[in-house]
Amino acid sequence: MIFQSAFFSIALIISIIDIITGSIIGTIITKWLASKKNWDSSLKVAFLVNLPWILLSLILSILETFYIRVIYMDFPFITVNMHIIVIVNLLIAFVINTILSTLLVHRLYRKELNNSLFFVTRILIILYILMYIFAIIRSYFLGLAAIS
Amino acid sequence: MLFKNFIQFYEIGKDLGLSRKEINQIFFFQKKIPLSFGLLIILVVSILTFFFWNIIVLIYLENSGAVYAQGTKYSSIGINDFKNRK
Repeated sequence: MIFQSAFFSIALIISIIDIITGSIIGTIITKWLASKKNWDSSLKVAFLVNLPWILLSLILSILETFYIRVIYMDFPFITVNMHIIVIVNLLIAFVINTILSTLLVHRLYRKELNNSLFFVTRILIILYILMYIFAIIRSYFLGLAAIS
Repeated sequence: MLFKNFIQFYEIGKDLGLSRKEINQIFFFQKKIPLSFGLLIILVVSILTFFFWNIIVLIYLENSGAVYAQGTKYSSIGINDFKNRK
């Protein structure tokens, strides 16, 4: 029981480390793309654009940890494909994230919605790919492939 | 009949000196929904989907656990369950 609770808290800590890394990477990407377009390239605005990603990732990681706990506790009786739950959540979160960040970019950078939508989509695609690569590398080192 | 109408539309448009893009606009709704409104609708729908999907998964996980008979501690499986086994 102690081992199990330690395992789940480790999973949550790892996802929080992921979120911190992702927020730093996202802020750098946003700043870079904004300066490339001659928009306001301050760190504060770039961080604010990434705020929905941070919040949604936090909600998702807590949910995932909860799901893993439920599934592993009743392991012999439940046959659930964890990846389907994670992928569906990730896709819906991507849509919510894109729209919220678009509205933020529209408000903060004072650009048209079309431009801000393209801007945010580009940032998020780069961020998601980088975070996926980061999760694969991390799972190799820690052997926690199930929690990626 | 439908294709004939389409071809006629293109021919009339060309005679009027319209570009291909302008002719194509005839086939779509003239009153476009503003992008901000569309984004808000998608946002609300996806938040609701996220909420209900997770509730469904949680309910499923809660109900698919081990069910024990009253008075038993670990398992309801008895020797009788293995009698038909060959």
